[in-house]
Amino acid sequence: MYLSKIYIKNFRGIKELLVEFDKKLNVIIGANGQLKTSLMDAIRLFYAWGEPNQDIEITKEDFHIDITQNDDGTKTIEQSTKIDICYQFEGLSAQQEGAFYQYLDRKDDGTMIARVHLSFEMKEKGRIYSSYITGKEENALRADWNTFHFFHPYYLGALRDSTRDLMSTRNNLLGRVIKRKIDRAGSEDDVKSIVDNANNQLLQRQEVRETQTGINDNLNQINSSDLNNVELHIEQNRIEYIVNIIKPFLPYSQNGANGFVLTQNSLGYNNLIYIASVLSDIKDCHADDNVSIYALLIEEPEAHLHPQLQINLYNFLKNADTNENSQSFITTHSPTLTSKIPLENLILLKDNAAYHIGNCFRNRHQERIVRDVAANNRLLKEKEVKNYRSMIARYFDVTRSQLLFSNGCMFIEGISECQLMETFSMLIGKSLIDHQIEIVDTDGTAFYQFLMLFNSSDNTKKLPIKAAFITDEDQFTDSKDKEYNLDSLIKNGYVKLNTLRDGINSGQVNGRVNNMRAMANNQANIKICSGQKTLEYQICKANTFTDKDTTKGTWLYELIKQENSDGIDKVDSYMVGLGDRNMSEEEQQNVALLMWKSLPGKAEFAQILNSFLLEKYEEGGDIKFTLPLYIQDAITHLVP
Amino acid sequence: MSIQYDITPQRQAYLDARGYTILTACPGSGKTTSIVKKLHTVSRYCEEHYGRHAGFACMSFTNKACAELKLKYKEMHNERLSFPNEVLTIDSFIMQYVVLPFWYLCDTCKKKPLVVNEEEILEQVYYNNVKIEGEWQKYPIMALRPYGKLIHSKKPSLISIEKMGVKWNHKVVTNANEIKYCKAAISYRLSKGFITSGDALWMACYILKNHKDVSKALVARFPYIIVDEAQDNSELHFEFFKLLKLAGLQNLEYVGDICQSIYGFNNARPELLQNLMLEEGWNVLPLSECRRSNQRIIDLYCKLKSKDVPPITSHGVEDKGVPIVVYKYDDDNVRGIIRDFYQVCDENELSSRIILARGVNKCKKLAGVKDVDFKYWKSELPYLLIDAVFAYEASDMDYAFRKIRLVLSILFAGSSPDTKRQFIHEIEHDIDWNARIFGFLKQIPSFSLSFKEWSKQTCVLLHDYWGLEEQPIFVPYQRQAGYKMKDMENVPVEHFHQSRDKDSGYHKSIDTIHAVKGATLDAVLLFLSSDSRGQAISLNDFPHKTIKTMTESQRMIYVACSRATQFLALSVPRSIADEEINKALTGVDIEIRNINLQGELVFAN
Repeated sequence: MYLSKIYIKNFRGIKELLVEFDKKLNVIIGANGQLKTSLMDAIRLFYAWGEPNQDIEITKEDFHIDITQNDDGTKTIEQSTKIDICYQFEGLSAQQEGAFYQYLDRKDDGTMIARVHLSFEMKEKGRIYSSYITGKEENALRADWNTFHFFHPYYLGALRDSTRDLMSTRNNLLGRVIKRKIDRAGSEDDVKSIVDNANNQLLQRQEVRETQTGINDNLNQINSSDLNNVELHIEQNRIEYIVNIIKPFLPYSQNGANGFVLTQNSLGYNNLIYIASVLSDIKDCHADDNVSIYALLIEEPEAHLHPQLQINLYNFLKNADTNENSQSFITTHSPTLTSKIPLENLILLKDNAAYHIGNCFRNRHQERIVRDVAANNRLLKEKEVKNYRSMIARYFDVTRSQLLFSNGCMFIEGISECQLMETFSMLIGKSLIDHQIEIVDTDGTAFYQFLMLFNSSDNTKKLPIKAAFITDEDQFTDSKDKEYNLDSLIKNGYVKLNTLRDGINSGQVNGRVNNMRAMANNQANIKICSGQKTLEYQICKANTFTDKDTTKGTWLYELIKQENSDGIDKVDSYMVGLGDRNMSEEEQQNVALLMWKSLPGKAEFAQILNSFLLEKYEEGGDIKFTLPLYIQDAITHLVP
Repeated sequence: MSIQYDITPQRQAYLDARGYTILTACPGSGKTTSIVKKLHTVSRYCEEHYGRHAGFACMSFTNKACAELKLKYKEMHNERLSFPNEVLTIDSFIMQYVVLPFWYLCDTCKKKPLVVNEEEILEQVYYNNVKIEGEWQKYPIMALRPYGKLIHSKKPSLISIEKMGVKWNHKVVTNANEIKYCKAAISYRLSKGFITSGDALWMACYILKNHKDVSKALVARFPYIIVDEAQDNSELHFEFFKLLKLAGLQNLEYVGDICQSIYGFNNARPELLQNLMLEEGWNVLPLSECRRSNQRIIDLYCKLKSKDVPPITSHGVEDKGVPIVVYKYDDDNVRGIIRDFYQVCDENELSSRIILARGVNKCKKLAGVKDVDFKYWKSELPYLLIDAVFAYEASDMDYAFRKIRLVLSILFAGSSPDTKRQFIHEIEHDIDWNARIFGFLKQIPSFSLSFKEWSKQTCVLLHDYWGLEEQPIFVPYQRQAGYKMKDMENVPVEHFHQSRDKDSGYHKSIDTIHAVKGATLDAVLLFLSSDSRGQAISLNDFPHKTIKTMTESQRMIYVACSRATQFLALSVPRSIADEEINKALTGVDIEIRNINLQGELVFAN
């Protein structure tokens, strides 16, 4: 049995939120302020409901506050007076159907689920009333309170000092585990006798006897008639006290009896010791009864663990407890950890909604999305969805899953674009980094799998993130031929230059671009931005103007002149040949083509242009560089 | 305080029994104590065999019986009965664990149901109120229109559903058209979410039968079920438990005494238990040691006993030697007989005593109420309030609260049955409302007030206490045959509605046999009628030889007589000759007493 769904209303920052869970592992990601902790607390609230030492309760501050902007500029602030949290459990065993009988709700398809609805109402004078309903909502029935004892939370908070729990001498986890084992073995008397022996030895010591005599002497002086003499002993009347003084420590050396005690350990190690104890406890509990269900809630394990240990911890959690009555909930900001988690187990919280990354690949072939325009608008196949899914998983694994934490994604073809885009965005005052836009280098043109993350018409099957895809249209692929190199272009009165230009203008747009547009599935969050021929050509084209002097005044012209004076001479001589008049569109294209052919190699150019632009930008003054329009569109789509 | 429980081989056999058990417990056998003794072991047994979440459900028929079981449990075991174990009435079990959680699995039921056993209120469900030219008119609902006048000749509120078919006013309906009508009427109230306890039982059986997963889950929750007073189970009750058995229930106990089934009017079918006793697979155990009555009393009531039930012996009862007395009564000497009866009691230091007759009306008549059917009010509110007060005085809070909630639904939720139903659902678990109801019950004016004054004060109380916009009015009948209603308004309410108020001259002095079921009393005086026509019980009910199957009347007398520990007295009409008495009671030592009361005051004024 596991928590399959939670519905939260008016709890802290959550106005309304519905989240579905995996039966084993749930890794909840999201930027700060996306209510991960509120979600964890909402889960914990019920699991701790029947615990004697509840460490979470609803206070006045937990009621959601709604702020609405009025037309006249004022704000209305309204605090809700009722918190509702509904929990739905699935996968009940026959025994659990009995145990949680009054929680049962039989669905139309014949499956039995268990439901609980907690509500908290703030009434007069801020008093908070709590109540609950189990089973079908309208029946308003309440299961016996004692059934709540079958739910157990283990919580490791983000800033929590697990050391404190382990140190407690009253009721700590390690003590509980040992106590349970003693109970099962029926060895309570044996354990007590160990302390009895210690007691006797201790009491025979002179230091103790002397202390005792001293106390009794004083007592007699205070009042000898009414006060009896005291005895000393190790407090041992209850087995709990005995087991709770057993503490873990890390020995200095193998077999060493001395070592670092808990307070000397790092928080990270103590967290791991705590988690290990928890799992040991849960395993024991499973052996005791198979009705109880357990939630292990860990917040930001990366806080105290270095990346490799995070992964170790995940691998351990994955395999440590396979019982169907335990379920884990982990929040994290760590792309390292996230990248190792299967897509189905990732839940992204954003803007008061929860998104399952795995859903982006669930029954997606049913959406009838066109995958191949050229092949008679062939639809996306189930097999392809599966392939894309594993491609994305592999991508996350290798490159980390930063994009899931971003506000928007820009997908580009290669490393050269990658460098330039941030600089470009800065030039128009829309820095991608500042706006937490992730630039994703697809290292080629493998855009389709990424489109799958954004292109569903079903909001639950796509990421709540904007995406821009930048791609070249790659017309006239013959342009790479020798006959179109710079020297050939200027021969014979620019015959080849004109051929190249016409070739590009009339050339076929790469089929990929059409497919991408089709795959975008008319979703407003996706923008496909393509530029004729290539990015380099587009840069040259954007910085060529009708007026020759303006063209010559651009930073790009300056850069080429600096890098390839021979090349720029050829550009100049073409322009001189045109006379004094303004350039026509075709002539501008020719200039752009000549500039393009004067550029250094692709990667080198990107690097040089980038540092050149950065220097110029830092110098200040007018920006004499124009972004290709489609790049500008992409940036504006992500940073409006 | 703990209860001494002396274990005999019979009792031990019961305590050790698991699986399918029928315990036939004679009167005074310590059945309840034995159950309570066993429950403790059973709770441990369930935990061990089925888990911490699983427990027993021990059911009885009345809230009173359940309260007694719970109290005794606490006294005997020094711990409160708690989760996962339950002691509750069969009705509650059915509602709480089947109907309320799963009513939506019964296709006919379209709304969360509310149990309404009150005939008048149920009847209203079948009428729509339509305003015509400013006047409210009642029209039968569309669903019953095709059946014409049947709605008037066979009130739909009296229709019940049984395992085999439908009944109207407890009688099986055979006419095809009438069956259709009855079914339509039941479907209608179910669809509107109004059900009787009988409907609830039928629904529960339907749900368990058609949804095995529900029955299995219920059995997982309660792997051990004990049904107390199983002789009062109806056919559907047996069906209900049979369905649980089919779903895998491994422990089922029927505890009862087929000789003590007196709920025939409630569809009790003791013969079904009797048949079951002969069926294979059931471990039938007796508790035949009577720790209540002396052998003389046992011998008298055993004349009525079925031979399928083992002989009863008096076990450790001290016999004070009080003879069985048969009084002869007429219209004038009832009070004298009662006085003599009390005198014998006093002489023998018998402190608890009771006077019994069959049926409320017979009791009232004997107590001097001239007209048991007299109704002062047309409105139903005062009757609901009176019932509530009686239930409250008898500590049956559930019943009292239910009645008051009905009153409130009428006052607050208007005339639509559906809004009433929703209103009751809303308030029934609300602590504030229940606290107010409790406060209200305590303030209802005394029945020693006249009809007029009581009506006035009660209406003012309703208005003030519940903050009503308008003061309600209890409308009296304009005329009732044989009465001057103008005069009646000054007559105290208690003349017609006897209360348990000990200080009142109209204190209810004679009880019905049903009211003392399960009780133990030092002395019992039972009034019999001249013959056994209709509802009456008489000496004619004593058979000449041993019988197999008992009649309802025989069981009635059996229950009444077996209450007494030391002194049993019967009272028969003067018209019956002594030899007839002796003949009927052959083999039992009796003393016939004539009480003459000339010149004495008669009991009623």
